[in-house]
Amino acid sequence: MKKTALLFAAGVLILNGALFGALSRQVVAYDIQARLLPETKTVEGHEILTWTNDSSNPVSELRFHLYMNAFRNNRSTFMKESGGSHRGFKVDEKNWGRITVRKIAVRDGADLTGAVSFVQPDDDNADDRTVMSVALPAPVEPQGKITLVIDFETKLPKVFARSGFVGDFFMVGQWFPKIGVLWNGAWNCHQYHASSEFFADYGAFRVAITAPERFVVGATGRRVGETKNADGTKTYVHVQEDVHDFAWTACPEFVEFREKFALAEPHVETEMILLVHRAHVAQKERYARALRNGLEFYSKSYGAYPYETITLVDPAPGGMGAGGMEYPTLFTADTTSYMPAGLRMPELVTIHEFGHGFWYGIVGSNEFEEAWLDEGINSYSEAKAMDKYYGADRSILDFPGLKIGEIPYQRMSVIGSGRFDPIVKFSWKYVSGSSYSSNVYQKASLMLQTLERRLGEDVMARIMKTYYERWKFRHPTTKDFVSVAEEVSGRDLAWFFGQVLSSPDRLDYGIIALKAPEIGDPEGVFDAKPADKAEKAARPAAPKQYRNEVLVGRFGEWIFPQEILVAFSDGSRVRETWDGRDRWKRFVYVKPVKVVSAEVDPGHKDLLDGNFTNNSMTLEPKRGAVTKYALGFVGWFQALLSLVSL
Amino acid sequence: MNILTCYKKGTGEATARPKIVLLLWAANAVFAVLAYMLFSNILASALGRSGAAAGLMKAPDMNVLFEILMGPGRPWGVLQAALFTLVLFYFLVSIFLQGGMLAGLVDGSLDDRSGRVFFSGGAQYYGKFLRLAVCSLVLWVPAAIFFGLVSALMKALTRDSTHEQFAFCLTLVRVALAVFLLFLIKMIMDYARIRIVTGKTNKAFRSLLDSLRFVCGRPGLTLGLYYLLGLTGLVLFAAWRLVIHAVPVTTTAAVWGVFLLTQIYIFSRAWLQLAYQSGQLVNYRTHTPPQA
Repeated sequence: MKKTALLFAAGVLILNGALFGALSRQVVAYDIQARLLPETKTVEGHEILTWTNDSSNPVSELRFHLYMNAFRNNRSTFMKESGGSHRGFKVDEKNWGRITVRKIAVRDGADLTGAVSFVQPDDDNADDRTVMSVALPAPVEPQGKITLVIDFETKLPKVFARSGFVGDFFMVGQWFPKIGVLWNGAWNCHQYHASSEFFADYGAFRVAITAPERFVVGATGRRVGETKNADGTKTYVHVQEDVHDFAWTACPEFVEFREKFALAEPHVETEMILLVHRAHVAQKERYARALRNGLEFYSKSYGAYPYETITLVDPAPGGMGAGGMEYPTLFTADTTSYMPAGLRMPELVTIHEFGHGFWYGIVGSNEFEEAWLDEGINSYSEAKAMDKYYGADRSILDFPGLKIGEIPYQRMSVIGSGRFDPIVKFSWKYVSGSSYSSNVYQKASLMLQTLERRLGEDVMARIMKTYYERWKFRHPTTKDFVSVAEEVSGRDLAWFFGQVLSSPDRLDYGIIALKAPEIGDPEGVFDAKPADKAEKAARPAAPKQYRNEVLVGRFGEWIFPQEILVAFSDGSRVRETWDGRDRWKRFVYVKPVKVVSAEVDPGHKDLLDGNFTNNSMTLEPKRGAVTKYALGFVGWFQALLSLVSL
Repeated sequence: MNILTCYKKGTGEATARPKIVLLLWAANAVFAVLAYMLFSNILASALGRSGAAAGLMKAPDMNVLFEILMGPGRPWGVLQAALFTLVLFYFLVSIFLQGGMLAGLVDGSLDDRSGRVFFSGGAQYYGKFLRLAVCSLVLWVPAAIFFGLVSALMKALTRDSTHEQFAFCLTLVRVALAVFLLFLIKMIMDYARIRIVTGKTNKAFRSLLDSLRFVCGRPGLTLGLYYLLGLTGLVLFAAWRLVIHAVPVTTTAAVWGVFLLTQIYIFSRAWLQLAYQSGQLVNYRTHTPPQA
């Protein structure tokens, strides 16, 4: 018994990073034994959690996420908000999920099972049981530790939102009682919402997963043990430090591919583990290439990937609801059996979800409260990576005659969305799921692209690197990002972030009018006697003069300083600047030549601008494009008519 | 007479009647002009005097194209309704064209009278063909029910979403079945019209049943001929797309050049329309004893 206690104490010390140089502040240490029961779609778990009170106040209540209770019934907050569907996948009402805490006790101490209650800090929905409160018999002092022993059972739902099963495929995420974050003197432990993801403290995990032998198992972290059991099962032990969550997967139909990835500068050595479903094996190389690209791009752009493994999980057919989700050192991708090479969905999802390993995994922002810090920054990073490796004009679709890059796609999403919400807002408080996603993903990405084009690529690269370096394995906020951007750029960016992050309004500058009337001879009554016809005829012909007027307007509410490029018929050009404050500004040029065109933001720096079409104007309309597209359309219409008559 | 002979004779007959082909193309072009006016007005109002138009001439700019699609006003609902109306009107006109084509083919004249024969034939058979179109519901409705039942069965078979490849294959089967049924009924309608024009009967419903019997009696020959002509259409389509794709459309001259090539393709489609009728007419006449 004594020996066991000593071993356990040593384990806890190791898990807390006391013996090894941990990268993060080790607030939690989980030691979990999990057994998958495929017949009942259940995981039985035994969890030993050591939690450190990292605050300066004693704590007499603990809060836990019981995320799987979101799938307990149709009255949970998640189900009410989502209407039982997530990314187009619907709940199977015959297969609800839940998590039951059978016992919770202080190790070698009081049984706390009776002190458990459910709380709803976000919406007072009494039917929601995704946050558990545990009253402690004695407070945990600042920097003190408490070790809890928890027995739980997780029934997995049929997968439609991240976690669950379909057939023999199991994606086990958000599956164990996970302690909340004690942040700024209070528990930051939100309920499971439809439009939000997760937030937790860093620490170490040791998880022993037992599953029937026929299953191929993958999990967060590196595998340190694999044991065959007498009952036809196998136990896989995974450990990982400096992470804030743990997920795993099991499926007999996975084909496992392993590949070493190394990078000289910055130094990266990791193992890519691809668990590809047998039905999708033909697409393994697409996944592998995208993952290599992701590892290279993110490591070079932000910082070396620090973990020893990265696991890609390809959900089974029918399990796409589990696809496109990130967990530390493991993520789920997405594809189907027949995925045209020109449709870059597997690549995009792979790079995006891998990228979350940086923006959420390593830089642990609060996804509940400021989702843009991971989704927005990651969409920005992903778009840059996709553009680099697959071509800026074809990074999403690449078919003959139809090519779409990611930036136009992001712009379309923002232009098509309503102006109801800003980028920074609690995730569940957006008017709709689409408003949430267009703001925190696309608009935030365009904001960073705009900032990059205004500050310069090198300055932006330094901002991102500094932010990553300074906030890795910590919990930054929007304020921290803004402060890094201002510090590195040496500029006051309050005008920029103040508008874009907190206002639902839009940016739109354009040319209102462009004209070039000829300045005629003076007519009417003047003090000087006007020249008569003979005098006029005797004078040498003066060159014609034109009053060129460019009227620039602000159609949106956001105020951005603007650059205007005015071109004249003799090939000369004038660049003007405007602070963009008033609703309009007129530029006048009296010249012997006519203005031919004018353009606001000629370099299209402001990708947030809601309308590029009105950014420019020509003196004479360019009908060529209209004819081209109208005739092209007519050709297709004629072909259709010829079919109608067959 | 085999499929190839019918095909050869049919395409030969169509080639010998350029005036009818021209009339078919002209009917198509009239509707194309209406569609052009509609679409170019929408585009012109969306682009205005934007400098983006110059860029669009060089290469598609997805930013601008998405703005036109997503921008304020979004006249796509109106455009959709207008196009649907045009297609519906064209369908009614195509009934006239069918009569004209068959009258021209049956008349056999290749001289200057062919235009007059075409128009008088179109008028003469319009009522009968319209009735035939209504009667064809007795084929369309059962086909739709059959397709619905097969689809429901396939849906039940693929309810287990884990069998992704099987579901994909069944989707292909569904599409193939839908196309097969569509073309089968259109072919039966062709023979029914031929039967009316060749004078076997004036009764639309009766002619539909007779043509059904005719097709069922020689499915290999009728379907073989129909699909051989269809294959010709696919070859023409592929050639059009390849040629269009090869031309860089960055100047006004190239725009009109491509439009001209498109009109050649539409002209070839009109020729194929006539070839369908003449080939099937040859087939029908070969296998039907002349009326006493």
